[in-house]
Amino acid sequence: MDALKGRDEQLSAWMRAANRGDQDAYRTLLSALLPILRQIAVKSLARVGAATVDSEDVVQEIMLAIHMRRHTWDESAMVMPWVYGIARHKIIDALRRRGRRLEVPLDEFEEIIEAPVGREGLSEQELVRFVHRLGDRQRTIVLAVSVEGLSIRDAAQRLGISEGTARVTLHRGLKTLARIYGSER
Amino acid sequence: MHTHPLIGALVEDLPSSPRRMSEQIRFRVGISTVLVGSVFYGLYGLRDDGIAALGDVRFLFKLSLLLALILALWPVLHRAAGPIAVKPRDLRLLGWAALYWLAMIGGEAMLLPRGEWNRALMGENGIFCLTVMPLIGLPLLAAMLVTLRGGAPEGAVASGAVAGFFCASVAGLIYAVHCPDESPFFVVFWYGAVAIALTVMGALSGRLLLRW
Repeated sequence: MDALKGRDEQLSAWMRAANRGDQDAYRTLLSALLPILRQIAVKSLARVGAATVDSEDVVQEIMLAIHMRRHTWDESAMVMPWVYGIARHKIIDALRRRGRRLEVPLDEFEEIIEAPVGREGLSEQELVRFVHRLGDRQRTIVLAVSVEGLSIRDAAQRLGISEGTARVTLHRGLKTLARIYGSER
Repeated sequence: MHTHPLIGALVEDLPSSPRRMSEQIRFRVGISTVLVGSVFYGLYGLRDDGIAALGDVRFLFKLSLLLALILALWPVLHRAAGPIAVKPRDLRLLGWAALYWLAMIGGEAMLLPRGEWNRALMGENGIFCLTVMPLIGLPLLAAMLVTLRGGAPEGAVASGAVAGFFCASVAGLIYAVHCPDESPFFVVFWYGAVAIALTVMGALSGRLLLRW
């Protein structure tokens, strides 16, 4: 139990720093959450007999939701219960969108400590597929700062637009994705 | 170090941070209460007996009933805006508020001769209360649903119901300042009816609006 608590304190510290605008802390936080989310997704999908659903798609949906809803985390509370809440919501949502209607029991999430699901490398193709419904401009920016790993400034320079415009376009792109992969229809 | 290309995009988008949910709730509740209160008091006046009411213990007790509800629901409202479902144990404070209400009603029952119960219950403004309090509560509820929609509410129906109950309590407080019917009997009966209606309305509209 102490390990879980210690982990949560570390994650909370990163998340609080991210809330103050610390991008490095945010990157560290998301990288630490990634294997946990992968495991949650794989296990949950297997448990409800939906192993055919691509878990990496669901992981991307959860990460995007964590990002878009990050203001709903209460800084005085633990992070993981909040993360589990978002994950559970998105998993149920993803299943519903694929024509299944299932309840995912939440309590079984709670003991997960890191036990990485071994997979790297495929993520790029999956991300490209994930963003394919975006318009040209938004897709280009999202891919430039994700797959190509450019900073927003470099991406803006490359596309010959201002940094501000690039920033807004990126934000709109992520928002559009959240809507595409959200319950809002 | 685990990585995923999407993380790069999310990190670059970090500066677009939305306002913290708790700030949004404080801000929206504050603004909408002041606006709706000003319109209501502008139309109907603050109170006929004015400042003298502050010396009336029954008036102050009535306000305390509504304040107790608002305070008990405040943390629940925050919970309703986030991805962790509202659980029975989040309602502990509400239990204490309910006990306080029971004590007040019990006190009234002991102090008031039985022959006057009916008059205290019916009061003089029951119908006015029943019409005007929902009108105060509805704009508050609309503002609250918009706010929660920008959050990550888990359980659309429950979150909507919490919003409805909370807004009914605020509407009750706004109305209570104006209304000369001070008996806890009156409050629990008429305000209660409005609170049930607003809570149901919150639950139903939550079901439609609070999906994300």
